[in-house]
Amino acid sequence: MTEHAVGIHKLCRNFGQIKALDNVSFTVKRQSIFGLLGPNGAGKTTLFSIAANFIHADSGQVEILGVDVQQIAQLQGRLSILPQDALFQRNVPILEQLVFFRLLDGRTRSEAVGEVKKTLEMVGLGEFMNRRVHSLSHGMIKRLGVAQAFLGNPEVILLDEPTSGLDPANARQIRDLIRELQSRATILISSHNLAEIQELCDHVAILDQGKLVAAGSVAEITRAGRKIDVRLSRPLLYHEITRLSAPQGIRHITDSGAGRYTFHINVSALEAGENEAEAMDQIIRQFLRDLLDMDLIPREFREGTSLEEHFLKVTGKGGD
Amino acid sequence: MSFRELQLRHLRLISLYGARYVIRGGAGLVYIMLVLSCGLITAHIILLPVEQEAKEKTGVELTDKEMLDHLVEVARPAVQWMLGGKTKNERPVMERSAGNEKEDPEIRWAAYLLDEKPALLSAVILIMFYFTPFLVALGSFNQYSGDIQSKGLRYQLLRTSRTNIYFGRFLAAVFYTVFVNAILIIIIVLYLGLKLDIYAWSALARWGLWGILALIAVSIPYIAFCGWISSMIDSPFGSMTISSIVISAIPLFALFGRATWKPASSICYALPWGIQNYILHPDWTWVLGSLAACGGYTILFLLLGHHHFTKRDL
Amino acid sequence: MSEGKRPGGLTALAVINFIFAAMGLLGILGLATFLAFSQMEDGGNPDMQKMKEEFAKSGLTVTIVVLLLAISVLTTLLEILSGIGYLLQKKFLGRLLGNMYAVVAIGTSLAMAIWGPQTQGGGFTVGTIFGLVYPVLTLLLLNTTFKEDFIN
Repeated sequence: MTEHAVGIHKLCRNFGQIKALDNVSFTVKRQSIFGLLGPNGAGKTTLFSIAANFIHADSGQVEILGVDVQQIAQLQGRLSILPQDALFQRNVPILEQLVFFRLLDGRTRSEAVGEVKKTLEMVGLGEFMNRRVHSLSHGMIKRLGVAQAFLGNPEVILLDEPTSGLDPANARQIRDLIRELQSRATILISSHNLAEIQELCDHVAILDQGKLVAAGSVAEITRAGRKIDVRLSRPLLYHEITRLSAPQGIRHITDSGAGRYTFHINVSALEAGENEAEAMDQIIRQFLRDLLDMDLIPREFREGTSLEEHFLKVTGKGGD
Repeated sequence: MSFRELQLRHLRLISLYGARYVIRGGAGLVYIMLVLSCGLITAHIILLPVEQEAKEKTGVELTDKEMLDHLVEVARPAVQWMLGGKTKNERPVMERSAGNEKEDPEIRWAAYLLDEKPALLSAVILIMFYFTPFLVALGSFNQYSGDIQSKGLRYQLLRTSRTNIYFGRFLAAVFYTVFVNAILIIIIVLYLGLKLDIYAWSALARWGLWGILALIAVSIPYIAFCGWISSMIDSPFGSMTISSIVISAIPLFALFGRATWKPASSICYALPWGIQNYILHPDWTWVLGSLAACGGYTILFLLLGHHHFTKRDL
Repeated sequence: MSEGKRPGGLTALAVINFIFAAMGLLGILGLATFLAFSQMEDGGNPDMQKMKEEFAKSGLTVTIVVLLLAISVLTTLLEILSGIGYLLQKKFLGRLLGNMYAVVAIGTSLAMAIWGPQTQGGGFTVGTIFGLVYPVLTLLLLNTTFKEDFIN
């Protein structure tokens, strides 16, 4: 059994003159939640579509659970997807549609109905199961798509923007469901909600104009910025800024206004042969002591670069 | 993708699901209305003189049987023409003067349909043969194109093979066509049996059943053709337009083309237009040949459509 | 099968309603003209006299023509209103009036079959069956397939 659930190898796909995917390669570990990020038109949906064999790659290979997706029949029941812009049949009750899908998966009718009802309850659509799709809101349709992706026990689930268009409560519910599934499935998520990806995912890959521009664990990527963002109970006075800048670990301070400050870490202090995590702990410990001595209470505290900042940096849409 | 991926269970599920919900999409409703309207109006026009008008015009009280015989003689040249026979003036002079009319195959064929079989039912079936290709185009144009356009097939593609989807939906269209044509012929057979005291029930039932099978045999190649077009074009409207234009253009081109260049009429063999009438032939070899040709057309269009469907982006 | 919020079948039903309503309007026009001519004085005109004789022979009385006209107006109106109701998915305008149209149309067809003058399309013919097909389909579809689609 391969260690990786998904393997993308030198994937290329053009649409006319446009390079939708340009030599993209990465792997996804089993039972992990993997985030696929990128601006609009980066190639995320194209990559998912090739992985599900909806469209064919010009070159390269995609393997899921050790199976080339060209032999997609071998993955029936093991792979599922929430496609971004696929429409359900608008005139058929949603229960019937999902029961049809489970029947195709090999279930008997009674088993299928039971499983579908349970899944619809799970995503909050239990009372609408006899409605037609055309009478559902956008958010409900999105939840229906998530429900069909969760049906059965797929080993790999591809979710293309699962929470887009959902209100915060429903989005939270879907995120909770995704976390619950991690123990039995490998999940790939594409999303524009970087905070959500940062919260959910172990690893991410960032695409830009068809190219892979960054890949790695979320912790590694966000730690790379080496800074501390705080919001304080009140603005800093001049002498307080001087005192907080004094320690060797702090390079300089940026004032963002309204009590928000960014303390940029002195990277050389970390590189002098010390254990990086311990060195950061020491800097943060000193920093917090200094704040409390000055009777300053941090209301918000975040270490490292946010995924959003890193994303903007690597896609050339923002600086450090 | 290969035929090895065909699964009977999936074919059954997809075809029954498709046939069950076709009317909700609108195309099924339009199709059933068109078929029943065409068929019943045709039957009404054919039967009306027997039931009413001719009695007044002749001024003589005739029985239904006598009226039928009269009408059959009036209709015979038209039926012969529809069967592809030449009119008197088109036949060579020698043939005409030698009085070889009884040897003319189309005359024998017309006699078989009008004299040996229930004439009224034969006429309805024959006229429906001409309407069927156009009706099928209007009923089967959206086997795939709508769901390709909406990407709705993507929910099924990881649960079953493209081959199963292609043939399952084809079968759904066939089942629905069988259902609609059966309703039409059964209505007409029941009417002829109950209202007009001309034909025996056994003759009506036998010929009615054959009529249903014949209409289905004629419909199936066109359903396969429309499926091929539908698999190539993302737009349902585009699929309907192209299917209808091609199906209509071929016989028209054959009809008018042969006036300037005789071989132009061979274009009708691009679709079953050229052979479909032989399903009603008195000679069984012609019937079997026509059925085999319909089967051949069906297989050809299915293979073309399947090949395209399995290779294209969905 | 990509569609908007309304089922395609309901849209198709509405369109067919409008087509039959258009044909009904032509029928109303014909009946009204027929009635008008039958009531006119012939003034010694031989053509007019011949027409009045044909009318008398046809078995149609003024009462029957007026009744047919009234029923045609009713069914045409019901077709138009229910067609609009189908498009708007209204319960009263669509489903109720649609059912009313179907019942009136079925009743009219059967009445013509039983009591209609033979020379004027009466009696049970294939035309009767044709006249029943669409109303029966409408009745079936409105109360089964599209029952849940009238949401307004």
